[in-house]
Formats: sequence, structure tokens, C-alpha cells
Amino acid sequence: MEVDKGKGEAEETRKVAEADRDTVTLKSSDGKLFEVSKEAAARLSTVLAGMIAGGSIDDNGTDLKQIGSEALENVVDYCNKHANSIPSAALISSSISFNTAPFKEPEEWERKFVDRLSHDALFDLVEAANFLGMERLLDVTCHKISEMMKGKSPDQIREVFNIKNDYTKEELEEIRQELAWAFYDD
Amino acid sequence: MDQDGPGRRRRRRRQHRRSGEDFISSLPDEILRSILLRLGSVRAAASTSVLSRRWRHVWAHLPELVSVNNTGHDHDVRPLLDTVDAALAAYADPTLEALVVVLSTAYADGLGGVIVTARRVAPWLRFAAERVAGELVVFEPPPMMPPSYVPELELPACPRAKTIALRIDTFWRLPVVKPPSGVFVFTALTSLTMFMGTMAGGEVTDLVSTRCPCLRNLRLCLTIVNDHDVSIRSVSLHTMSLRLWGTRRLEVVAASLENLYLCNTIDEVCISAPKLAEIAWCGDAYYPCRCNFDGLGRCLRLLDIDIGAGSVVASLMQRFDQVDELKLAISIARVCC
Repeated sequence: MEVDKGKGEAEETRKVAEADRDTVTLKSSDGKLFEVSKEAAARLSTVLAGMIAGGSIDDNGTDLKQIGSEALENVVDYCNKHANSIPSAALISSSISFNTAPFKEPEEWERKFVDRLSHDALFDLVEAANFLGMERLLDVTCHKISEMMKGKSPDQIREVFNIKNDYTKEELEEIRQELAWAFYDD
Repeated sequence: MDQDGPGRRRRRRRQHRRSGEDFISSLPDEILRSILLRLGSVRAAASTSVLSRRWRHVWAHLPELVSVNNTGHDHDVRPLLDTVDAALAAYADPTLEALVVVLSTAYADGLGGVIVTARRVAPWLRFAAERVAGELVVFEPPPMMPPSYVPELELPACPRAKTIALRIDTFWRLPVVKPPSGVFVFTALTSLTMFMGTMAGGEVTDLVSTRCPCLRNLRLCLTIVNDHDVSIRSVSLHTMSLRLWGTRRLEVVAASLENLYLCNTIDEVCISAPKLAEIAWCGDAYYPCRCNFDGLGRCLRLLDIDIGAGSVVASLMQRFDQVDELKLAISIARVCC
């Protein structure tokens, strides 16, 4: 394959310039551009870290076709807030240990960050975090969703999340019997 | 957590969500499990089975099963035991990252005797031996009265477990090994904690010295019976905390050991640990003639001594010339005239 040498050099120069910048530009599915701290993006997202390390970041906006502008704005906002916040124990992985709390709770600002989101925006953000391999943001958003489920009956959960019950009456009764231990105080 | 990148779980892109749509059910299984895990209760997670077909089996693949009951009410105990039984019976994944069952001590007498407890625990341990690849924690409440009969349990042979912590009042036996599988080894185990049980000295020796090749942290609080000598030989151990009743002689040969907590309930102690930097000593007596620190220099980072009424233990300080940090707990008897 013939390679355009001039173009290759320009590409090289651009990559060097890119490497020198301390932000990266991300482009949403609907073409909006967002600047994000390169350090935070690399630290918080395995996918962005891979792209930065692999040099596949585009100066004119790296295409993230899977993510809409509203979700990407939240992702970028989260990364930039994280870049400015003091790192704490909350960043440590969430694995259970018998002498520590089961999960590192979200920090106050993270809680507020997800609390202000609409239902739709929250789920868009979960998907974006999953797509970008952002473990900490997934933790925080999953925590929020589980808070929305806690202490609620199945009927209430269905209502909150618009889940359609597609069981027959008989099937439902069968499961309830099989898992009677899970419903003993209902 | 899903680390598989963008390709694997790519799903239908919704450019414009419509209110009233079910967003949660279209999330990938890993994320739903992650959400259910944060409910902090196996029962709550399992009860989501009835939501819809999508949710039927999500809970049965949770990476961790956690049942922690600390309400302090007796009437919560039996349902919790039933919950663990049922959850393990219904669990569908071949590998479980963590099985954690913790019963608080507030309702120790609510269990109706330790014999029931050990019997109930036995199937959990068998399950753990087959499936637990990370952490196994089973904490039973201590019995109110010393039991007249201590039931036997086999230590779960978990080749994949990294952490095992057990607080069960039982007579522990090492797993029975049937030929041709040879000697059973806790290949992955780095941290072992055993509280409250009873074990033969020779089996403790065998367990720590030959079956745990990468053990770093050891905490034992056990009553030693039968052969009363314990010998711990390990190149991997870094921290060790021992409170062994009924031990006649303790021998420790641990090249990497840095941190030792020893409750002196032992007649004769011989420790060869040249890297030892921190010693915490608890108990009435330290007799230099009966305690030998072989090959250890005269400097320590930390010496933490609980000087009981006997105060003989103070002579342990004379063993060292330099200690960066010294902690002394002193009991002074009040004399009433």
C-alpha cells in the first residue's frame, strides 16, 4: 500500500503535539466536543487509557459513537471533578474483606453528582461508564440504582424502573414457592 | 466489573430515550449483578427473581454471597441460617468470589447449641471447598457456655481460596485426602484466620508448614490438644498472631516473618525469624530461659508489651538494645487499706 509520506509526518507531528497536551478532546455520537483532563481520563477509564497509550486519540475530537452528548458531558464532568478532588480510600477496589466495610461508599460529591441526574441520564451514564471501562463511575452509579431498589417490594421496584412483569400467574407462584426463603417477611 | 471493552456488550443504542421505558432490564448481566450485590442482602437480591423473566436467574450468579446479621435479635438467626442454606442450594455459578456469613455475638444463646451450628455449617464448608475462589468467612457467635461436647468439622479444602477466616467452635480436622490426589494443598491461600476452635498440635504444624505454600498472614486463636507441640515452618509468612492454649512447645522458623503477636500461653517458645521487626507480647510471663529468639538482632521497630500483674514479662525488654517504638500496658493493683 502506498503511503503518503507528507501526511505521515504531519500525523507524527500531530501525535507529538497531542502527547504534550494535558487534555484530550472527545466527540459524542451527535458531534459535540468535550475537553477532559488527560490524567483523569487515563486513570478512570481503561478504554481511554488504552487509546491514550496507543496514540489513537484524535486532536480534533476522538469519536465515541456509542455515547450521546448528555452522557458524555456527565462523564467528562465526573472526570474533571475527580481530577480536582483529593484521592481517598474510596478509590480502593470494592471487594469485600471481612475486616473492612463491604463497599467503599461513594464520596459526598459523587453522591451529589448522581443524585442530580434524571432517571434517563443515570442509565445513559451507566452505559457510558460501562462502555469506557470506568470502574469507579460504575460503582457510583450502580450504588445509586441499588439505593433506588432498597427496601422496596417487587411491585414497587417494577414501578420505579418500568419493568413489565411477563410471568404468568402460575410461573410467579412457582418462583415464590421455590424462593420462599427470600420472601418470608412479605 | 466489565473490563472487556466496548465490543463485547455492545447493545442497541438508544439515541432518544422515552420516558416510561424499562432501562434497567437492558443493562448487561454484569452490571445487574453489581447492582444486586450492593443491596447487601442475598434475600433482597434473590427476591428480584419475580420482577420479570429477565431477572429470573441474575441473582444466582452473584460474585459474592454475603449474609451478615447484626440486628442482635434471636428470631433473626434461624431465618438467616435458612437463607444461607437456600441461597447456596440455588446458586448457579461454578465459582464464587466470596462467601461471607457473619453472625453477631449479641444473640449467642439463640442458636440452640453449638452442635446444631456445626452441623449446619458443614454443608457450607463443603460448598466453599468446591466453589470459593476468593474469600471464605464464617463467623459464628461464641457459645454462652463452654460446650460439653465439641463437634468435629473438616477444614474446607479450598484450593482456590485466598482468604479463609473461621470463627466456629469445633474440633478442626484437616481435609481427608484420598489417593491418588496426594497431599491436599491450599495453593492460593495468603491469609488464614481461625478463632475459637480446637485442633491437634500436629495438624496445626501440618496445615501451616506443609499445606499453605504462600501464606502471608496467619491468625490463630485455638485450643491445642493431643500432641501439644506446634512447629511452624514457613518461608512466606509475614505476619503471625498466635494465641494457643494448651501448647507445650512452640517452634517457629520463618525467614520472612516481620510481625509477631504472641499471647504467652505456651511453656516453651523457640523462634527463628531474623527479619522480625515488630513484636507484641501479651501474657503474664516471659522467661528468657524458656523463650529463645534465635538469630534475631537486638533492634526492633516496635515492641508492644502488656505487663500483667506478674511483670516478669518486662525482662523481654532486656532482650533488645534498641526499639524505635515501645508500647507498655501496665496494670497497677489498687491497694485498699
